[in-house]
Amino acid sequence: MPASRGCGTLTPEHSTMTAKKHHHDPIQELANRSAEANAGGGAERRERQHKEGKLGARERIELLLDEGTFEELDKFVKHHCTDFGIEEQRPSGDGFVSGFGRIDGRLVYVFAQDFTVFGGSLSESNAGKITKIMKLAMSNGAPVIGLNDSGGARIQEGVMSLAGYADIFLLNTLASGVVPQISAVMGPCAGGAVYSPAITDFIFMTEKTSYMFVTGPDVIKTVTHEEVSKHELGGAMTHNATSGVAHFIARDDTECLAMIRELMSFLPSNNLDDPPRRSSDDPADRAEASLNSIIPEDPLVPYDIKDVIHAVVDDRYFFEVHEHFAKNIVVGFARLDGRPVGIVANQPAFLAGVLDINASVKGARFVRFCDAFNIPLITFEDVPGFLPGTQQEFGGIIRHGAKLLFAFAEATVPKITVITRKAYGGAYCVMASKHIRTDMNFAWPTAEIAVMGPEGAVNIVYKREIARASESERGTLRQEKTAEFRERFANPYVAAERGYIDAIILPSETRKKLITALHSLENKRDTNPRKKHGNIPL
Amino acid sequence: MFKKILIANRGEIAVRILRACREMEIPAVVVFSDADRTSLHVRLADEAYPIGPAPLKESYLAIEKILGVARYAGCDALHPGYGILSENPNLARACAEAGVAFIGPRPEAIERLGSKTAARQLAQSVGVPTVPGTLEPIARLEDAPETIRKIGLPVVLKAVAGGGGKGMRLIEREQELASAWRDASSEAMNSFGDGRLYLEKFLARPRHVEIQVLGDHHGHIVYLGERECSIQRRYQKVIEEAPSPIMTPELRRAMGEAAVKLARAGGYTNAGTLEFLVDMERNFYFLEMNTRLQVEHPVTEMVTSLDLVKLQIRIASGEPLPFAQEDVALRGHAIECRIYAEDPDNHFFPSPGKILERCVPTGPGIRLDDGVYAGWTVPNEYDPLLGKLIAWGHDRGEAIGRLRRALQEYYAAGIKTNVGLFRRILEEPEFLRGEIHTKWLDELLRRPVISPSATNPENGRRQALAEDAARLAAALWYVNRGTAPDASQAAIAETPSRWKQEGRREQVEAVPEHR
Amino acid sequence: MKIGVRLGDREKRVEIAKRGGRLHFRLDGRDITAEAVEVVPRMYSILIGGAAFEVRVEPRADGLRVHVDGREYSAEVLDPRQWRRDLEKMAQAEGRQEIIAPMPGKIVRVLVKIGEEVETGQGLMVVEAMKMQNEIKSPKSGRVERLLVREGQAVNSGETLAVVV
Repeated sequence: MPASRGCGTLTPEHSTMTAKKHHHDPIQELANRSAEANAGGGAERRERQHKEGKLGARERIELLLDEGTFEELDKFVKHHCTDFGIEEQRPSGDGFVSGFGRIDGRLVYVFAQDFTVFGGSLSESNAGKITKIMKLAMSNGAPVIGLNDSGGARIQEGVMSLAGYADIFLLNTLASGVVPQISAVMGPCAGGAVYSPAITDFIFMTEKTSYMFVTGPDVIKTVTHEEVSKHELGGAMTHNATSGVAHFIARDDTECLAMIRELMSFLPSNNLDDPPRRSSDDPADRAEASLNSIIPEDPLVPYDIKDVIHAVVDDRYFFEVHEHFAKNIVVGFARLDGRPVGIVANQPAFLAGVLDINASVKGARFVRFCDAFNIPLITFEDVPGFLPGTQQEFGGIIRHGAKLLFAFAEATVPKITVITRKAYGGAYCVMASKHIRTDMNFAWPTAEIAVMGPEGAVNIVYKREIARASESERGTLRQEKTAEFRERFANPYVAAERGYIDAIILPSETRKKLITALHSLENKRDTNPRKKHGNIPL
Repeated sequence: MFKKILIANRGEIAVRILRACREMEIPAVVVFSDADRTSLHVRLADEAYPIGPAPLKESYLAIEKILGVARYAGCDALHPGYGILSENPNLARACAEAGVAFIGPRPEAIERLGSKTAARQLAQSVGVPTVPGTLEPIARLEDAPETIRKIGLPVVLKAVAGGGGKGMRLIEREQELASAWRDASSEAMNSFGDGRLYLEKFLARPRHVEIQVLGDHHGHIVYLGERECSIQRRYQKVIEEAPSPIMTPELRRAMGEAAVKLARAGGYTNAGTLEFLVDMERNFYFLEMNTRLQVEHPVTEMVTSLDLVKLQIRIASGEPLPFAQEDVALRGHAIECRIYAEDPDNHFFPSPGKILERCVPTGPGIRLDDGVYAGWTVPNEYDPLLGKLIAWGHDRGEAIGRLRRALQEYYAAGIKTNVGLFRRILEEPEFLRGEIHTKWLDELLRRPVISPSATNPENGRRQALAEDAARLAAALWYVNRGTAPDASQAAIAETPSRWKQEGRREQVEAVPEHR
Repeated sequence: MKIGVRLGDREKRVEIAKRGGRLHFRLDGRDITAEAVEVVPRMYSILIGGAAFEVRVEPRADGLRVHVDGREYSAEVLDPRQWRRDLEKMAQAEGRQEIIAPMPGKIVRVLVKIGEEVETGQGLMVVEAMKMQNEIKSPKSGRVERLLVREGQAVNSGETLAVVV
């Protein structure tokens, strides 16, 4: 198909057609126009895309959806800009591919930016394609998946392009909490364009081929004189590990798309549906003897909470979210007796599982996602408290920690907590405690539920006694009192006496207990007071 | 005839005995451990009683518990099967005391013939040849050279307490004696806590040939031909056949008469097997006697048209043998393979597990004696023998052909089996020519597997197509697995609860409350 | 549907298309005349040209087993749409590896010496943070080239602790 050139009022296709054929063949014309749209920016540009390790927009959609299920919409949309000579090039589809299809048989709406056409830039027309499918998604209660690979705004269109962005941002916001929204950044995504993915629920990035930033290295150099490469600034690992903007990193396009499919298997289609349940071969009453000895005798020795998670969930399969960010808290999806659950767990193997700013924000956002989409929350708690330090206090650990508290307290989905070891102080209250509407609170016999660790408590409670004691006695006194304190309070029974703990369970039976509890909560109903929305401390 | 028989065993042999009882219309009682509640022998029995936890010691080996069941259920006879308690004279004795007929030899006969040393001494006293060597342990290394000169090199040093090749050393020259003695003695000490050794003549490439005998309580003893059991993996029989490919009528008569002579000398009754080694010159040497029914008894049944288990029961009830030696006629050829739940890729370690699906061969000349079914979990507490596949043909070639065909039809999913091993053995030219010996299989397993395509281009083409067919099937399975009713990938649709739906709607509804 | 099927150690591309109620197969890009029926669950009767095969597919915990013609193969279906979670997760790092402190804390024990040969996963040192002792493990098998910390020293997150080559 030759590149189209504008020619008066006649469409270019029509002119070529009539030149070739003497009579008009409408069937053939559709085929020709389709082929032109499918060609995108042409073989040469697509080749370049492949060389960079990237797939074309259509190839990506093809791999994302169940085979042969993609139904394209707006294939013949064109831009209407007449400035800067861009009117000479009006490719069908205008550099975006959009439509709907199926993932594991379930309806999803999808759009992909085609970098081979105008660098995937956003125009008034193709923004309209996105908002159209987003509206369709919201009326049909189906997720939206956006595959981003765009140079940014179409500068030639000026404010019309910006208007397009804003239209999308609004719909992203309105759709938030109505249908799951997933973004994959599979190429550049810079400037204002980043805010559409930022509002969506999950961001995937491809290693090496993607980057996201608000202002690029050149601007940064002029303004702050910092020298930084595109990938250091906004590469996949930067956003997965340092900024926490992205939730998943994939080696390449193929893996990225497969991971999106995997994530989708845990999510409901909308905020009224349940997440899809699968049959499970893993026995619901599978006992895991190793858990009875997983808590080290020495309180200084850490263990990996992921070992606990793997031991408990179906087929030991845990799909971790935000794996590389704030590793002191672990969040992700798994299944219990085939039902998807969201898991939030303190990670003693990293910074003792302490709650800091990043961990609080990471946990809070995940809890809110699960609550919005009817995914029950399972919390594994082993937390020594909040991270002390000026950095944290100046950074606002108060308001950030409050987010996690707010999120857990606000959540009305089934909530189950298992305290494996430490549950100290304010962090105890935050981590889905009984007091903030958690449905089932379990504790292992190794749990220590107290205001603080025995050593710290003794230093405060027996401050005077210790001060009065002679230098030589001080050590022994402290040891004695610590042991006494540990004996008295470092256990789950004091909390259980008050009913703050519903049951003290054998670690080996955690799976069975969770599944039984989850089953009992299957039809849970709970509401928040009527309000426009809460005011989470952002 | 007996009124009720207790079967003090499990697995395929319990099922085999049950079948005989049912054909004779004698009610059969079985016992089972906790691990065997759903086993086939329990399913098929007339009466079944639990006798305790899975470990053999606490159930199938607990004589008092078993006899308790016999008394409780009113059994007047007990069949011990093979293995477990079958060769324990204490069971036979306890039966006698409880007034329950033991379907097997008398306890004294078990003691006389069941012990290796006692049986060989008896053999020597009645002139049945044994492998030349010392029966008694050699006290000192210094005494060994004289003995060696007497038997002649090469010789083997063996552990008195031995088995499984431990504490065993081949000596081809007298100079090797000292170091071989040292090694064998310490190995035996480490393995069995008994470092005593004895010497035996070394036989190159011997065959294991055994004679089935049957004696009644009226002084009649007959032999029912032989079984060739040389295909062994680490001293465990894998394939057995009857008759032996090297057998001649003269040799059969000589061995059979020797066996009967020895059995008679030991006062033996009921079914028993005398094991011999046969060297390359067809000299035979008595090895030991198994005072019970053998695993491989079906091959003898197939070529003699006799039912050994029924005969055992008749004999035990006092009936005389219904035929004489000259009535025993051998017809055709039978081969048996022992199918185990074993992982051939992992040193044939037991591979217990749930049998998900099963397809068993049928058709002309095929017999399957087994004790398993699809949906049953092979317990890991016991010997993982699933069953025995036996083929009969009018000659050895036809039997092999039928067995190969049947093996191709045999399928069990969920567990790993050693079926592939039989396919390989049944393709080996040496096996087909009958040129086998007791070390043959161990040697074969050390050789690399040659694919059939390397030897036969026609087989190669077929295999390539078969592999493509396998790929298509795997692909089809993958494509359809989401829609298959039993697939774990399938999503479950649940009927929504009105209660929940209402609650959910309430949460998202924008209309203000009017309450 | 285009997927890869590995049988034993050989992979071929399998394409299955349904046209007019009939299945069409391609293997490694070539059309093949084949017909397939799932006779009972997981048992397929497959005719390729005139050759007839009965194939049983058995999904096991350790992978797919396929039985055909009395032989058993391990098989794997490679679907680009299916995320394979554990893919090379445990791959060992290559080249010069700087061991970075994952969190601020105090070095309580150094478990290796300069020049020592270490294995992947071997503990190099123990960092105590928030009263919890975390072992820092070697990302590769190699030699400890540099040790930049001593016992008792406080370290910040991101600080280089050692170098393994």
